[in-house]
Amino acid sequence: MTPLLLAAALALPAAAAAYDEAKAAYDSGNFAHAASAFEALVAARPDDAALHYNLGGSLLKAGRLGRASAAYQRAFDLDPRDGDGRHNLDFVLKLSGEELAPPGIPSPAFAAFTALSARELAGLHWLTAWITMILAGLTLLGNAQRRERLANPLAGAAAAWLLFGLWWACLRAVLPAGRGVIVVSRAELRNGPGEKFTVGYTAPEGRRVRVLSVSGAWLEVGLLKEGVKGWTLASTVEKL
Amino acid sequence: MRRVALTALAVLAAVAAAAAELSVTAVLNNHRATMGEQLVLSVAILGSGSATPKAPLIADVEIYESGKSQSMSIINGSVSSRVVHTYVLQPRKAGRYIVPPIEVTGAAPTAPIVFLVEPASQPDAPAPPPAAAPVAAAPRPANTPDAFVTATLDKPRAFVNEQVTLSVRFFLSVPLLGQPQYDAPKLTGLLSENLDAQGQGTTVINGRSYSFTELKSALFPVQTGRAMIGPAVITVQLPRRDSPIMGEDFFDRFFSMTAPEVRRLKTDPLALQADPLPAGAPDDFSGIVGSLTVESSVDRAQLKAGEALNLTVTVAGSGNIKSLPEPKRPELASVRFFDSESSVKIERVGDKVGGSKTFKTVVVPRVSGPLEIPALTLSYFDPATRAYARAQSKPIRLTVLPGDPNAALPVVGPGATPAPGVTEVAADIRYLKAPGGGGFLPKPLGAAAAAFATPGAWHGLPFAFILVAVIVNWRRRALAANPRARRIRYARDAAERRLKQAEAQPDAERARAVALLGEALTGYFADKFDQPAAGLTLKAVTHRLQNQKSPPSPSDIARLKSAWDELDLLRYAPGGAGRAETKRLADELRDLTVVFDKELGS
Repeated sequence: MTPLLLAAALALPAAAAAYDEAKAAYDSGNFAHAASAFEALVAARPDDAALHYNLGGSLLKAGRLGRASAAYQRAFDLDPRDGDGRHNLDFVLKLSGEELAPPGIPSPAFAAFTALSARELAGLHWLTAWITMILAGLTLLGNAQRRERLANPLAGAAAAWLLFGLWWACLRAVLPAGRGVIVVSRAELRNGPGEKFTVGYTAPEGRRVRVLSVSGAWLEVGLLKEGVKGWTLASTVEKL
Repeated sequence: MRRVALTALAVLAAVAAAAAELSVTAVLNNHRATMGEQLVLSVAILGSGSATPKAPLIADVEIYESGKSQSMSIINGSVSSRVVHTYVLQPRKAGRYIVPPIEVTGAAPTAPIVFLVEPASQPDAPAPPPAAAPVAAAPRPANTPDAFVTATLDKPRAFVNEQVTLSVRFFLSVPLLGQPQYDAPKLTGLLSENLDAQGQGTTVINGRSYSFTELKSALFPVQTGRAMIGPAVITVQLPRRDSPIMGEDFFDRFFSMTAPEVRRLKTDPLALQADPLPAGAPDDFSGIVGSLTVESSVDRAQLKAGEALNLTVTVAGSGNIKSLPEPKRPELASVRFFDSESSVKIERVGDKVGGSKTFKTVVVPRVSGPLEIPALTLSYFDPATRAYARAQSKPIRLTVLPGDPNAALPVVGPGATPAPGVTEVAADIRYLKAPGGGGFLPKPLGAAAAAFATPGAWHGLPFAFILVAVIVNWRRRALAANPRARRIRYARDAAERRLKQAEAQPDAERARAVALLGEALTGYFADKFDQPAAGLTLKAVTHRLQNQKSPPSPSDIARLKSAWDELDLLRYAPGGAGRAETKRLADELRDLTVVFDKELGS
């Protein structure tokens, strides 16, 4: 057994105990303790959507709407087909005046569009790209008989590559990189990176933003829903 | 007989025509009021007495029907009917309101009516206590007429919606000839409620004995300011003073043919000052000036979730009970309240109007467990203490048992929307999840996608592969298009194939092996020089090699000559070459083709 596998095997019981402790705290109504326990679990296993989901629930029950929204968003990014995660994210977004599905787009259509995560689409895009390239290379190098045999698989792989590539690009446009969530009760969006600039807008806790630029301790953020932007202290935004 | 029938038909036709020509008008007594005041909406229907308008519905305005009056006449076969429905409007809060069009079947709807309700303000000067105000006195006749009528109010000023009692007394000192006709006074800014008690008695005024009849009405001012009570009129037939009827002799009276004297007796108009209610009315102020109590009850204390329960709320007391609004229902997410129905019971105790208004509501608990319906409150203005007071019911505690999960909520009342079987009580997040579940596509696609999702330069490999394939393919096509170049390019490959064949020959075929070695050598140079192999001699080859732009080194040519001569010797030697010799010679020729490939180019 390699040292890595041994460490993993030893960590499993400890992780299970930590989960049981966090769950017990949640069930007893000690949500703050549950949140800190789930935070530790998330730090150990950042790719586990269920742990982000549980952290979101604990934070929300503990009154931390913004951080709960961030945790649910991460869970959704990892596992968009989880109905519970989708429901809870939509729930917290509504508390801050947003909805999961953009305005004008029916919920079923948005659910179908986000059925695959950005990571899954990236993987499928590259996988089909590899297959397409290899088949194309073999077709070029092969004789006429091989070319005929590879024509249909090559066309299918190319179509899949195009589909997943476009889908991935569209998803990145809707859920762009550099997103964040307001984690204070009322974030002030100023017209410049400093307190000498006037406050142009205020944004409620839990509202999703896109980080546009950074200047010292200040972030330039854009509100995804309203399409307005302003500068706010970095401590008021949790980056996703 | 035929004429009678035709006449009856004509009358019926006239009645039908009149009924068909309906018209409706709506009039509001005032278009501006302050909180606590009431407005009176009169809806008149001309043409038929059978049509009934539907009471208008206005949000935040309590509306109740105060009564209706009807008059009908047939003149020269033409029927004229007029019915006036009176509604009292009691706004619950300040704002701008619109009385919607009132529709009656067969008539065009009325136009909307806009009215404004302003917040109640503190009166500029405190009104004197109405109870302490002097009672308006009825004017007493200076002389002693045979009959007269007086009207009095029990107080000259009152708060809006506070009861004022109007007394109309008819004094008579002579016998009446015929039934008197009473016309009630016309009221402006007041609502009236008859008091049943009709007092009678005798009194002596200025030394003359009178019998009197007293009619009392409860009046409620609907708005601040001056309310007017018009003259009450009694039309009587009295004996003439100079007629024998005034005598004591029965026969004189019996045989008298003198007509009676018809007199219209009128009271003086009265004015009532209506004062606004003090500021600071509670949110649940009912608009009632009087006193109230609130009681609530249910028909059972235990039921299942989804089952219906009857909640009865009774508000009782004195004042204008008809205008009472329903106490505000508590906001309970776990309970569904259906629309309530109300009934009014008016009671008259002495000169005071009161009674009770009962609201019946169907309540359906959505979830099981203990349930408390909180106290229901309603505030009123107590004129005795000149302060607002609050009546409050007792809270009701219920036990709700788990219900049938498939049972739908009952449908209550006409037009009620059927409730779904599952009703969301309160939205919340969903429960925790065990870690590790879900997250990526199922294997093996998920595993492959996960592996390929890792970004990096390694994704350039397939593009490099396709680039190589393109280049190879291009070169292959170019060679295919030029047979000479292809022959020169693959000369060594052809020689190699022959060398391998020679090495593979069995011992019995040594001569064949030597022949193949020779073909490999001559064939190589024939391909390189693009000429037939037959007849190609060593001399011709060396001459051609030495005439190259960059001729091979002499040592390489010497090696070539040596190999060529050795092959010639073996070709004619008995038994050919042995296996080892064939192998050695094949290696030498292989090496030479490599050397000359470099020097001659491909």
